[in-house]
Amino acid sequence: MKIFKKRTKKTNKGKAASLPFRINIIFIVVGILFVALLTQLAYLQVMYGSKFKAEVNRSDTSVVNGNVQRGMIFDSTGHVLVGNSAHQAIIYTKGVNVLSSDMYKTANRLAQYVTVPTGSLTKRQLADYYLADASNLAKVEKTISGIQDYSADAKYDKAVTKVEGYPNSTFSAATKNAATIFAKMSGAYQLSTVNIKDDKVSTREVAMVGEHLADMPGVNVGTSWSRNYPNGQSIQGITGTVSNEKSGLPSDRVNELLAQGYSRNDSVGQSYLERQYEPVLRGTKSQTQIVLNSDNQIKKEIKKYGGQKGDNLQLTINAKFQKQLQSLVHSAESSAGGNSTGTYAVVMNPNNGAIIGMAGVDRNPKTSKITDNILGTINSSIVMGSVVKGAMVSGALMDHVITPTNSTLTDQPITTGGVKKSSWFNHNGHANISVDASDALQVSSNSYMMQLAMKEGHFNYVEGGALTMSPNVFNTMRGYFNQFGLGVKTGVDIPGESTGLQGASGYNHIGSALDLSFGNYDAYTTMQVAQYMSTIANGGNRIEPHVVEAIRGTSKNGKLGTVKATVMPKVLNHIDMTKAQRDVVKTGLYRVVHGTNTYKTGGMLSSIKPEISAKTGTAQTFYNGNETVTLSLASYAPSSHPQVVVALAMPNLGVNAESNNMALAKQIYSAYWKTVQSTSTVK
Amino acid sequence: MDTSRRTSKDDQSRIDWGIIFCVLMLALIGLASIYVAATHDSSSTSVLRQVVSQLVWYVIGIIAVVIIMQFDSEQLWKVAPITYWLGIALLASVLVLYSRTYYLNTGAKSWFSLFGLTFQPSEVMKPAYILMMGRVIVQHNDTYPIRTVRSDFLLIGKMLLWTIPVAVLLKLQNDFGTMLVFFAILGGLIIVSGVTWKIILPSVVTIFGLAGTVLALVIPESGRHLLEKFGFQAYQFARVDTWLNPSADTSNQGYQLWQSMKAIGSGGIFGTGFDQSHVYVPVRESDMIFSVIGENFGFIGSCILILLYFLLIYQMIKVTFDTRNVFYAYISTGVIMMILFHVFENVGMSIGLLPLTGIPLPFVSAGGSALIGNMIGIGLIMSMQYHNKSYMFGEDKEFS
Repeated sequence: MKIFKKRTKKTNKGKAASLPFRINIIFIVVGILFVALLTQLAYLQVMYGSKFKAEVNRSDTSVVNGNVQRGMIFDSTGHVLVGNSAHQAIIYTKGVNVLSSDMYKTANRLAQYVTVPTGSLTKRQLADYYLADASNLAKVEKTISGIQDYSADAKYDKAVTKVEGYPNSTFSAATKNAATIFAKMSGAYQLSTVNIKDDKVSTREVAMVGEHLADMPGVNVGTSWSRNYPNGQSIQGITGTVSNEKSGLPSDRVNELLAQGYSRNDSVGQSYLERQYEPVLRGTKSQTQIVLNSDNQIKKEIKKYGGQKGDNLQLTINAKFQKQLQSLVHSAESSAGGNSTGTYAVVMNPNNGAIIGMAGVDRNPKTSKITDNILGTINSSIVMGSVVKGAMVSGALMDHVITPTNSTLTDQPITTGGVKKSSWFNHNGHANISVDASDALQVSSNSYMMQLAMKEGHFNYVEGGALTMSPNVFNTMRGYFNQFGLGVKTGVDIPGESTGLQGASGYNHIGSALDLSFGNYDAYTTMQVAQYMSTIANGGNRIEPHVVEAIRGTSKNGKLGTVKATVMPKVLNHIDMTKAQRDVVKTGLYRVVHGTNTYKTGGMLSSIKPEISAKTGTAQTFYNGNETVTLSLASYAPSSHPQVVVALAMPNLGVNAESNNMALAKQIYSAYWKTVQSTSTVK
Repeated sequence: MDTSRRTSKDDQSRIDWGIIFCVLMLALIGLASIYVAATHDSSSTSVLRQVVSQLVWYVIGIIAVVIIMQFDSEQLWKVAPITYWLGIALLASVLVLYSRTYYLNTGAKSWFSLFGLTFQPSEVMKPAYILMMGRVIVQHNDTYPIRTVRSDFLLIGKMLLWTIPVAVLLKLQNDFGTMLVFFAILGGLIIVSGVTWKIILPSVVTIFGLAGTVLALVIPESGRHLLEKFGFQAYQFARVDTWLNPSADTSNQGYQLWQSMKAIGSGGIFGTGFDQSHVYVPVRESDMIFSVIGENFGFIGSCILILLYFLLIYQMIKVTFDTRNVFYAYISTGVIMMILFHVFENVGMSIGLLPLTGIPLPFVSAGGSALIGNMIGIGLIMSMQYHNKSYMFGEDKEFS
């Protein structure tokens, strides 16, 4: 400051004298401001320098998950029911804070090498792409009058509306291609991966992209998988389906699945087995640790875990037999005609509950259109008819209203309150015969079952009298039926099972208790019938039916690997009957096919080798006010040591139908012994 | 005039090597920093191109200095109104012919774009304005040799009158930062113009008081509602928020500042070394160039830079005193205020001392028009030394 003092020492009053002084003031201001700068700099760089250094050196790690192949589903013989087709895919992993302009560049580069279908491109996406180029945006905004009055967002919206209004022909196919790629990239979440193209990626595309990977940050060549069905898609009726990348996670479960670590575009089991066994099938995603520096740029990527393909399911179902069964059911239904509404069949092992085949078709009587509905076996409730009589007789034995040695009753029409109900062969009482329990099954005596019901209801039958029985009898009968699986869930390992339907059970409906006794009142599923017959066949154990045999790893050649878990047969309850009591029922079922009575109902089945025991069913039903007949059948074979149970139901056939069920059963047994098990393995 | 003094040795002393040294050093620091910024940031223009184009601007700037040095006091007096109105014409025409791309990117209609070169007329308006204001003050003081409060108010009125066209045009361009530069120049000139302290002191107190009140009102929510009624906008509040608490929201408004503070802070005392960049700072080749210097050269480097500016301003003040020409004194004060404000605001905003505005660091930031504007300022100062007739009359000569 010496210089200024020297210059100003001779100052007098007046403007000239004050000028140096005032310039000095300016200089002092300069000094003060610069000292302020230096103070703040010292504060930042000297005092907090190390803190900022630490902040800069800080790095974040994030984990990026990669998809792995979903577990496959095999049949009992190791054939693939549900497999995966691997596709080369062009994938894009979005970084952190990626600018739209950078993505625009990447999309344009990638568009030179890859052609994607542009059909799903929306006008908005096309506009967003077009305007991602600053010069396009400027150009468009110039054409909008009064644009400067809008905020930045509103300007952009105006521009989008403008571009959306352009005729489609404004944009070349190449532009649309790039726009589609850009839209897919934009749709990705930070540090998540999307497939840019995963279908029909040519080797040329893979090569071109691979060569230019360095110019396209985030782009890579990967693999994607989609489900395939080498044995036909109808198996989806059991296995269910998976969501694909396009449909994304099922909307009703998005939050739940996101919480479990799924990405929005992951494939996830949507129904049935694919859903039930999702945790097994999904596998473990690969994990790549991404280290970000404080600027959120990717510093390095470390593959932490290669991922584990999902485990495979092995089903109890025999794919070849399943196919045959489905086609038998289908052809039985096509020849049924009339008001027929479907045909369902279940084939299972009575000893462990393994379902070997389950088939079903629905038919729309109006259009005669037949559609596959395998799950009709577990969710269609059908009034089955006399097929339940084995359970009725068993119940009566357990209730001690009859005993193995004392069970003879007279088959006669039952008339109560002016309503007459009778067996099929004895409508008018002209064919009254004495039958014991086994014979009652053989001839399918309705009269016998009604008398058992009245005994269980502690009601003394007087012909023509009022049926003043307590409605408790419904509970008694159903209690026994339930023990065999009729009218309760079977526990099959496929979601969506029905419990069947119960008719009204009050005093006003007491007459229906008689109908219930011979299967003409409550409705059951085909699976319930199969479980009921299995329970009789295996000596009194109600076993959960299941379609999954085991969870297995993958072998080196991609086939079934080591067994990781086996589904053990689960006994739900044991039927408390003596051997003598059981034999009454088993004998009856054997006599249905092989008995000597004129009125035996299953004689047509006697030609089946090995010998089967069975119970047929005929229910009088109605469809849309038209009288129909529902035929059913429950059977096991061989009669002496049962290894397979066949249950089937054919609702709403013509009133004259009487042997469709047996014809189908014969075909099923024939297929079974040819395809699944050789007759040489049984005596 | 004593022609015997016109020797080559005297020619040497007529050129201010101190100023040239400072500007040269700043230019070197600028080129190095632009190189660092260009190397580490992705851009469509190559590193070499960015550095060379800046070099070319320096050459143009030097030519401008040499040309302006040829003008003596009288000639400057004559051209002052011409340059002023020329500048106004440019500022007005840019409102129509502004670069659309630049406008979209920055929201300011203050740039011409011709053949790929961009030019900001407000930068060259600064020296023109300084010249004109110098002329206005001298004229006024000659007309009113005896100062009264009334004549002082009249002077301030005249000065404001010449400032209003500039301010209005800059407001229309949405260039608030540059407008502040003109206000800084105006403020400096009012002080040196000899206006009585009776006016200046209360004004300074009022301005600081108002600024303090507004700032106090920004902080509570209720105060903001009040300010909104006076036409303040949300983005202005956001800038203040960022300034008050730079690390609070580092994603949007605060990102640039926080990155800049991180870069400068992490430089520490000695810096990370030349061409080392760990922190990305947006537009660091231009307005945020100080972040490169702070990061690479640390506190010591920052001090040297600020010292260079201080030295430069000191040299200018020295020249002012040497020439003892009031017209020159006003011009140099204007140039000093211009450079001072640029340095203080630019460095201040980079280190979180002041809110962000788009003001470049003189002689260092990339960008041609700002450099030319500053070089013209240097040219004016150097022309004073070059045409200095008064030093031969001895030290006791007063300002004339």
